[in-house]
Amino acid sequence: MNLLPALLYRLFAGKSVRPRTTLQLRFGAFAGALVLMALIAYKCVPLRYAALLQINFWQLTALLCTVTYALVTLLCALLDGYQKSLLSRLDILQQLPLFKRQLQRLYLIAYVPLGLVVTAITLPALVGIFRGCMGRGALLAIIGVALGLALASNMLLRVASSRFNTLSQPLRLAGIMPAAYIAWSLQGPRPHAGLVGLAACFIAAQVIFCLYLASRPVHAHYARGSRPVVEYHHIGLVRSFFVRAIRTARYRAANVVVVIIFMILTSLARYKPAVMSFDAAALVALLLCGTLGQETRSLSKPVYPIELLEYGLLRRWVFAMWALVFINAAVLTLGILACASWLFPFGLSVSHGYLLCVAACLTGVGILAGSLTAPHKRDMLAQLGATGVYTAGAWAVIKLMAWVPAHMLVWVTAGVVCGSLAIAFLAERFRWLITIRRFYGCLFCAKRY
Amino acid sequence: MKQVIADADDPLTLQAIVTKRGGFELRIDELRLQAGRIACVVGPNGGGKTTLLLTVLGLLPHDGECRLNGVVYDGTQPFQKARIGFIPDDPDLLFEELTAREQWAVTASVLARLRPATSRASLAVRAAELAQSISFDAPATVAQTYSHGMRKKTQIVNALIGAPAVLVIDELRNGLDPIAIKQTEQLIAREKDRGAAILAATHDLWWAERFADYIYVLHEGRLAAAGTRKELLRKGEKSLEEAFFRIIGVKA
Repeated sequence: MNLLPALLYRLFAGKSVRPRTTLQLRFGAFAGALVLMALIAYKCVPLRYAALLQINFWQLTALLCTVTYALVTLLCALLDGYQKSLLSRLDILQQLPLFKRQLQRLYLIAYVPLGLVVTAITLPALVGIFRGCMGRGALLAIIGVALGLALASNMLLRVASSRFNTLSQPLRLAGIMPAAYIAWSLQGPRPHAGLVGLAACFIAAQVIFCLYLASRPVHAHYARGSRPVVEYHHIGLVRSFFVRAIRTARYRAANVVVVIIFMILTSLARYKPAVMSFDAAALVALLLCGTLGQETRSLSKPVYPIELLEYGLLRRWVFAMWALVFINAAVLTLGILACASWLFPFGLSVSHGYLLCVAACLTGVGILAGSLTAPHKRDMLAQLGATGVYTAGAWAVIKLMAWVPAHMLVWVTAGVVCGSLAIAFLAERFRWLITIRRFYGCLFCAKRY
Repeated sequence: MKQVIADADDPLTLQAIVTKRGGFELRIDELRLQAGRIACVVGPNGGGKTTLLLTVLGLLPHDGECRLNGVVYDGTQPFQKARIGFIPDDPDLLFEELTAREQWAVTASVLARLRPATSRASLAVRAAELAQSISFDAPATVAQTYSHGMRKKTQIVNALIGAPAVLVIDELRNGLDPIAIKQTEQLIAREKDRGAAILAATHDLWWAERFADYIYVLHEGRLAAAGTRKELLRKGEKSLEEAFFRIIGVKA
C-alpha cells in the first residue's frame, strides 16, 4: 500500500465534502495570489481602484494581500485538519511508522509551495500597513491582516497540538525561508525594520514551539515520579476548567510566547515609532492572544468529554469553556492596556478601545474559522459562542474604561489578576511554597478529605 | 427475544430499542435490569455490546423507549443521568490535568448540585472510603502520569461516588492486577447488596459465569439468548463457554 498516492487521490478526487472544499479553496487561493502578484507588478491597476476607495497604493495592496493570505491560511488549516484526521486513524492502527517516508514527501509537497505563497504575499502586506497606516484604508488593511493573523495563530497552535508536527514545522519553516528571501528582495534595497522584527517574532514563535514539542516525551502518559501538584479538593466543574488550563503546558507556553512577542513589539513601538505604531503592536499581540482562547478547545476532548459522558451537563460545560475564553480576553486586553498606559503616559484614546474591540472580534472570527475542521458539532457550537464571548470580554474592559480612569482600572485589575495568577503558578511549580499554597488553598476553601 | 421478569419500577427498562451506529444496527425488543442483580452482556467482537452500553448511557440516538426507575429517559436529563454510574474500558476518559481526588471532587460537586439532599462532604467521604476499599492511595499528581491500573481505579471510584441506581461496566478486569480485581469484585458485590442494578459487558465468559445473576448473549446486534447460567446451559453442557458457542453457531 502506498500512502502518498492514496492521500493525493483523496485530496483531489475524494468523495467526502472536506477534500472537495479543500481543493476549491486551494485553487481559489492560488489564483488569488497570482492575480495579486500581477496587480503588484502593474501599479497603475491597483492605483485606479485605490483612488475609488480613497486609499493609497500600499494600503490597497495590503488589503488584497491580507485577504488572500487569510484564504491561503484557511486552506492550510483545512489541509491540516484533513491530514490530522487521517493520521489519527493511522495512529490507532499502529501503522504510522510504516508511512513515515511517505508522510515526509507529502509534507514537502503540501507545505513548501504553501509556505512560499503565504510568505510572499504576507510580507508586502505588512510593509504596506506599517508604511502608511492612516484613515479608512488603514483600518481595512488592519482588518485584513487581523483576520489572516488570527487564522495563522490558530493554525499554529492547532497544528502544534499534534505530535506528528514535529516533522511538519521544520519543513514549513524550510518552505518559508526561501520565499521570505524572494519577497524581501522585491521590497527594494532597504528592508523595513518593522518587517524584520515581526518576521523574527513569528519565526521565533515557531522555533519555540518546535523546540518545545521536540523536548516533550511522547510517552509522557506513562512517566513516573512526576512532581506533585497542589490539589483542590473542593473544585467544581467550572473551576476545574481553570485549574486544568493553568496546568496545561501548551496553555502556559502560549502565554509565554505571546508575552515575549508583545514585549518585542511594544519596545519597537516605543523606541522606533516610525517603524511600528502602537496600534499595530497591540493588535498583533491581541490577535496572538486568540491562541489562548483556542487553547480552551484542547481542554475538552471533541470525542466525548467525560462530563458530558457522565452527566450530560452540556450547558455547564459550555459555560465553563466560555467563561475561560472571557477571562482570557479580559485579562489579556487589560494586560495590553497596562503596557499601553506605561508606554504612553498621556492616556488611551477611545479609538484605541474600538480598535481593540475590532481586533478581539476578529480574533473570535479567527477562532471560529480555525475550528472549521472540528470534527464535532458541539465543538463548533462552543466556538461560535466563544467568538461572541471573546468580543464581550474585550468590550467589557473598554466600557469600564469610560467610568474609571483608564490607567487606574488597568493597573489595579491587572495587578490583582496577575498577582493571583503568579501565586497560582508558583504554588503549582514549587511545593516548598507551603505557606502560599495554603493561602491559595484557603481562597478556594480547600480542605483535605 | 423477550425477558419477562418485570416489575413496574425496575431500575432500567429498554423496550423496542433500535440503535444505528455506522452500518451496524442494534435491536433489542425488551431488556430489564432488576435492582440488586448483576447482568452480564457477552458476545463476539462487533456483536453490539458497546453499542448497548452507550445506548443505556444515553450517548447514542435511538428509537424505542428507555426508562430509568419508570421514567422515560433519553440521556439528556442530568438529574436522571446522575443515577447512572459508568466504569469505562477506555483509560483516557479522565481529566488529564486533574489529580484523582480532584476528579472525584468535581464529580461530587456535580452530584451535590443535582441532588440537593446530598452534601459534597458526604460524597467526599464516600470517595475516600471507596478508594480505601480498593487499596488506592491516590497520588497528588495529575492523571497524565497514572498507569492503566491507577486510571481504572480512579474511574471506578468516580463511578461509585454517587451510589448509582444503575451501574454500567465495560470490561471491569482490564488493567487491574489480581489483588485489585478481587477487591473490585467485592466492591461491586457490595453495590449489588445495596440494591444497584448492574449491567456489565465482558468478553470473559468465565468471569460472567461466576459473577452474573443473569446473562445476555448479543450476536450481530440481536439478543441471541438470555437467562441465568442454568437456563442457558443445555443437557451435557458443563460451562457457559460451550453454551455460548452453540448459541452463536460456532464450533469450539
